[in-house]
Amino acid sequence: MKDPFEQVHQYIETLLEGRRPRHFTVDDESDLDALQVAARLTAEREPAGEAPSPEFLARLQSRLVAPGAGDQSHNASRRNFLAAALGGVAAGLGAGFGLARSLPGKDLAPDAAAAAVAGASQAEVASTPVPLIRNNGRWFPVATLSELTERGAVRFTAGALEGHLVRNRDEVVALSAICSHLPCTLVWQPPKENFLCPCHDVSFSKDGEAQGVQRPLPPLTKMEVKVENGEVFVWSIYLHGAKPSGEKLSDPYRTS
Amino acid sequence: MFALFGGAPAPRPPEPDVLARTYQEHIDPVYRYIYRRVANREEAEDLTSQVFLKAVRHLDGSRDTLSVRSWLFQLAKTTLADHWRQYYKAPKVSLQLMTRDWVAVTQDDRESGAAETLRQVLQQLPQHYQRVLSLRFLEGLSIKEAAAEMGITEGNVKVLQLRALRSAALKGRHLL
Repeated sequence: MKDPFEQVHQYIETLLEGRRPRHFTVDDESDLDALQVAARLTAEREPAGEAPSPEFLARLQSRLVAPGAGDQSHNASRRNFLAAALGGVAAGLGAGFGLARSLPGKDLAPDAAAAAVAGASQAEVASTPVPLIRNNGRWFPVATLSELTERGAVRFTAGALEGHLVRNRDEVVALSAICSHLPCTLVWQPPKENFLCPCHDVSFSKDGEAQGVQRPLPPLTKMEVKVENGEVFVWSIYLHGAKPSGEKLSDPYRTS
Repeated sequence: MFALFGGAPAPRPPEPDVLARTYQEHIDPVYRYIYRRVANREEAEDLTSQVFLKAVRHLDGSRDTLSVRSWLFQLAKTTLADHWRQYYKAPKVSLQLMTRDWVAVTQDDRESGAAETLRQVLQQLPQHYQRVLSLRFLEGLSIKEAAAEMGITEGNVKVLQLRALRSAALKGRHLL
């Protein structure tokens, strides 16, 4: 362990070389002050260095407008009316934007889940996913709530996204209709209430979890969904020429 | 810190276009404010990100630019204070340390006042302190080069440098 004097010196050296100093602790407040003065003086040396890089600006902006940025404990009316929706929506916040982490929340009460998401969001400042479509996206109406029966599914195309809507307990969930293994389009199986991959002997539950697999498969990506006035919307990006559609897939199952 | 925004009710999350506008308005001055106090890009980006991630849900467009700017700088100050606090091991942290900003800034976004104060403080230092700081920080000489320039040992330069910095800090604090 270096002696404090050497560490202070090393801090200054590192700054003057334009690099990020390594963390250490000082015993003396006056050393802390000295470090701060050193930083001020170093910054003065090269005024050009104080301009933020365009890449950083773009990156941070993307992070900020992503759902899940900052604290999630905001007002309930923005969430869909289903009380435990945070499970579906919050899980979608990460999974829907390509982040392979599991969020708690489905089985927690909404406030606890919100805190968990907020905690996860804050903790993952350094590794927040790049959102796909937040800036140019919009809400696509996909189906009415009444079309989505308790035991059925609705197959939809919303802009560039292909998905299935299902009801899980109190939640409306929008799952990718594409298998997480190879990009095969999944098939809803009404009697089993799961999704079958035609390419392999793999199925996915209504939660998006892979079933009957020998190797672990990623869960189905969830999309951001909201329910307003009995209508279900999915956040997506408008594909030129494509219109949203919803095809009801409940008993009996119909292929188009 | 959130006094400007009052208590309940919880703020609505900002619409993307409002957020984008607010971001454009304030990101540059806040980043520069932070950069000047840490003097490296990585920490500046890190800390600036922290500030805006903390702030984002409050940037709902309901406050005027001046209030938001002022609040963001306050947030930046406390974020910096937390950053510095990690460098200082103490069982308790004094209130002063919590809001420590070596040179008080009266006009945060222009900061011409701060640069001027910095200069004034340095000019008040004894000659040899000014010299070593000038050689090391203004001219960017290495320890070895500064030692040669001043006709002293490298060890002496290190000691002198530290004393000069401490002295400058003391003088600056009186201007708070």
